[in-house]
Amino acid sequence: MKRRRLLLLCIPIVVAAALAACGAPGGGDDDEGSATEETTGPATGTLVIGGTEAGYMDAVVEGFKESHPDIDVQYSTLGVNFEGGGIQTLLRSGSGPDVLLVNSGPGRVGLLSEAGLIRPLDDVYEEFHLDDVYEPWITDQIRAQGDGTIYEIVEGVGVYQVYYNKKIFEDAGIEPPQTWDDFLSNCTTLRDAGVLPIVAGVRDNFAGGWMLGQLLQSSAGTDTMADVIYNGGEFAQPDVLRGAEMLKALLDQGCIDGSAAAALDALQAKAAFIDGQGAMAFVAQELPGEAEKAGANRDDFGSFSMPSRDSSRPATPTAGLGYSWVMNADTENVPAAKAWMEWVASEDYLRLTAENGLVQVPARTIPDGVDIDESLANSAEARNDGAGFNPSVYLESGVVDAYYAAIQGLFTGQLSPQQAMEQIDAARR
Amino acid sequence: MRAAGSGPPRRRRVWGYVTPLLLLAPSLIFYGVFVLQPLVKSVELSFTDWDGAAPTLNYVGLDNYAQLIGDDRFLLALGRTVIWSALYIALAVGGGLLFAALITELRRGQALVRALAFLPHALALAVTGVIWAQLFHPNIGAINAGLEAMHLGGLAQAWLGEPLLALPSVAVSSGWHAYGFYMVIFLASMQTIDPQLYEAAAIDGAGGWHRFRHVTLPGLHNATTVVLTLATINSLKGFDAVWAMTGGGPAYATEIVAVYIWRVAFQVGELGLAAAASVILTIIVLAFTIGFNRNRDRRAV
Amino acid sequence: MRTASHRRHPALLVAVIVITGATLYPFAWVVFGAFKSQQEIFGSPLLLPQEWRWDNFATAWTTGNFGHYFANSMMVALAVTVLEVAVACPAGYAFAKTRLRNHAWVFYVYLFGLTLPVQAIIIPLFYQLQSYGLVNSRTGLSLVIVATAVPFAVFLMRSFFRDLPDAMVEAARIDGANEWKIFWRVMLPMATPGLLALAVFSFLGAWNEFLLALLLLTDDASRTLPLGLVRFQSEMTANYGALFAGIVLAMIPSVLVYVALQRSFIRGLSAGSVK
Repeated sequence: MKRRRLLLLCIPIVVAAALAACGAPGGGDDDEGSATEETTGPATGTLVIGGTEAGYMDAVVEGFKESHPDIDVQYSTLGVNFEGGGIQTLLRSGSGPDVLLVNSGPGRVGLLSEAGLIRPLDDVYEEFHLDDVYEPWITDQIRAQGDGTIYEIVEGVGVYQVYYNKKIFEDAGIEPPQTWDDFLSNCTTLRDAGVLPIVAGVRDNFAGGWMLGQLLQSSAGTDTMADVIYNGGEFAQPDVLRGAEMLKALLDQGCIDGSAAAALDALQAKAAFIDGQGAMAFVAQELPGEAEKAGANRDDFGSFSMPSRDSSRPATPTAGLGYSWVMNADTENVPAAKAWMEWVASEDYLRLTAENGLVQVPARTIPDGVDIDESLANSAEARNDGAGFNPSVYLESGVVDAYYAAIQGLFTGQLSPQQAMEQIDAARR
Repeated sequence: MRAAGSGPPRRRRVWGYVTPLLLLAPSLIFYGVFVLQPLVKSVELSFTDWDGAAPTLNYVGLDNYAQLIGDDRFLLALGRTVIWSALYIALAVGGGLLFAALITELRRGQALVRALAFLPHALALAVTGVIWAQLFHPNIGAINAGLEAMHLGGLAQAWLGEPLLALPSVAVSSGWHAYGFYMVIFLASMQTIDPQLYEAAAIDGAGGWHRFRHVTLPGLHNATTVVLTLATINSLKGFDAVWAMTGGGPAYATEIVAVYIWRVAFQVGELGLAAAASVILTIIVLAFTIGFNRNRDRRAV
Repeated sequence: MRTASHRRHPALLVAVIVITGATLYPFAWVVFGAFKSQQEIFGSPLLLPQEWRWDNFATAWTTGNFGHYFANSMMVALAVTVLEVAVACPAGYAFAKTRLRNHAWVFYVYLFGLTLPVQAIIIPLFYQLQSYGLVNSRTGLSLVIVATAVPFAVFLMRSFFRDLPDAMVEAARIDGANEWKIFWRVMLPMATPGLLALAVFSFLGAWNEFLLALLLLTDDASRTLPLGLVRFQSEMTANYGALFAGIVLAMIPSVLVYVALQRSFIRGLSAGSVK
């Protein structure tokens, strides 16, 4: 009886084999044949928009409805991210929105275009003359990423610097640093005064990416980093490796609490920084605005770019495309989706976002008469003086994962800088 | 056992299966369509390099299995799963048994205590994860704050940020969620133990531990088999709490096989590889269940 | 009855109280946190709130979409409960009281499902449901939950029916009742406690389901409560008061259902598993 039990367990497999003969995944249900889409014509019908939690979303959707009364707009917040795999699954399900806002870059948008999940937008760029509207470097970057094809309309840019709590700096008698040594000695002064020098939260990866990106930029400079990012230069080369060693030094000297950083996510770390629980944070342009929203005084926070290790190079911020609008490859209403893209690129759209809590540096040129938040304007200026790269945005998908894994390994002390950088290089091969 | 009787005529015998099979049919349809069919498909996919988009399947033989066996990340995930199961069983089953032994001695209030201890199990495991992520929070968490209030601030940790502590911390939350469940089973089983056995032990002058070891535990043999089987299966499937608390981090420290499968399948899109991992997980669960139950059956005789 | 040697030990009572208290403390802590301001959460995480402020609940309710998630969860859980009982009850009876019980191998097919990790089926399942148009659909999720719970439900119902005396079946048979009538008129009414236990199990199981919901529900409109809470956590991750309030909102329905039905739940568990 007992021996038979084992044999009998095979029976379900046989039963199901018969059942499975019918529905093969990917086999019967792909709708590649239905590609005869209407790409021109009047924009009517239904448009499903997938947005984010950004404060201005309701305003811009309302604005679109007003100017396009013939389109039945359905808006929903996706609340899914690439790191969780939600967007890919949503688009694969065939029930995703027509247009949606996602993280920019080859590791994100590139992942979708390679899988054929989003539609090329060259015709949109041409039809609405978007070359004239966007900063040239942005158009260049997205065209290069798609091997000459454009897949995204960039919504905003992130510009990363070191933000500091002016009061804590004052109490400790220190000034924003001019050199890496200044920076280190600031950290140790703060540490000895019982203040946490740097608040970090890398649990959800990307803030760790910002931080290491700034250190790599400080160590290697824009040209070397451009070579690493675009031409496959090695992360383990001495100049770049030194950036990872800088992170290790900060961890070893107690300037960052590595395991607390690994337990916190980016928003929690930011909240702790705004609450005054640490002196510095490697974050983006929205920090002063968010401090104000949280009831703190935005003028209590200053910013500086990480000093360069090479005195002949100026300190520069890092930057990267933030969010982009993409069009679902399966969309049945291309004209309406195009109308949305035209709206996204418009001056009115920018004005509405600026009035309703814009947090990123606009990718679009800022026309006279549109006022944007002071810290965003400053960041735009800093960026236009030349900026390095936020690697998370520019690395391919498998490599971004390795980059994040290397950062977590550094923060938790499981990887040496050498090992961490070599792992990223290994993922590229 | 079926009573021995005169065999009915052959036609009636066949006919007599119609009603039972009709009674069985609805469940078999659900089970066949949504469980067995995808299971077979999983096995098939595990021999392909399907990425979720390709219109046809490309068979690669045992490549995925070979890749998994040579992949440190997968092997570490397997190892972590074993540790995770051990922790889960120690906390949830051990805790449940201990608490059942305690409250079975209570004369009043037993039902109330039992109901309260079971309460966490009414929550979704994912909700439990969200709650415990806050309890373990390095800045606002009750655990660090509690340690500090007891002047043990030195023991305060970033529980979910330390690679060595993250998995045990998640196991604590799952233990909290589940121990009441196993306790109820143990308690019910304890109440079926003949009280005379306890009296005999008491006459022999046996202490509390002795009674537990020599009367209670043997009396719980069957319940223990059921509970250990259930708990192991549950822990090997474990996903919800880990996903809600750490997502597999920091730096893979809580990436058990269930999380590995999810990440490889739905974040990286290597569905064939993930399917192979899921087949391996299934074989392990199955082998354990059969082996463990056979062994227990034999020992019981 | 217990003898004098079983007299309660004070240490026993203390241990029981401490463990029960530790079990309940997380609930209390979350509820207190839900009434605190951000500054208070950072400053005094352990204590009672200084004043009981409700604005965290307002934030959680308006931005968290909990009413919507609640409705989704309720629909899924009710559908699963009804279907599960309808499907598992006849099967359990068939295995316990009809001539199928002499064919153990059929039952092993179901037992096999009891050990099967869901991970083994999720990948094809997603694409299968997509081809049926059942992704992002509460119907799709309900059907799948019913199917994955079939083995346990059948197992449970089989043990309930097995405890009912065979004599009743025989007597009915002699009275000329057919198999169907015996099941429907004679056995089913007697198995009511078992049915209730199964209903409670199914409801809570569906209410708390996470992995399948994560797999099959990717748009906000169809999300269930656990999924909604995890999403809410990732958005409110640093607005602790609102996060706590959201947790409380997500906990309330489970706790209420449990408190109302805990007797049949615990009885069902005790009866179903010890055998």
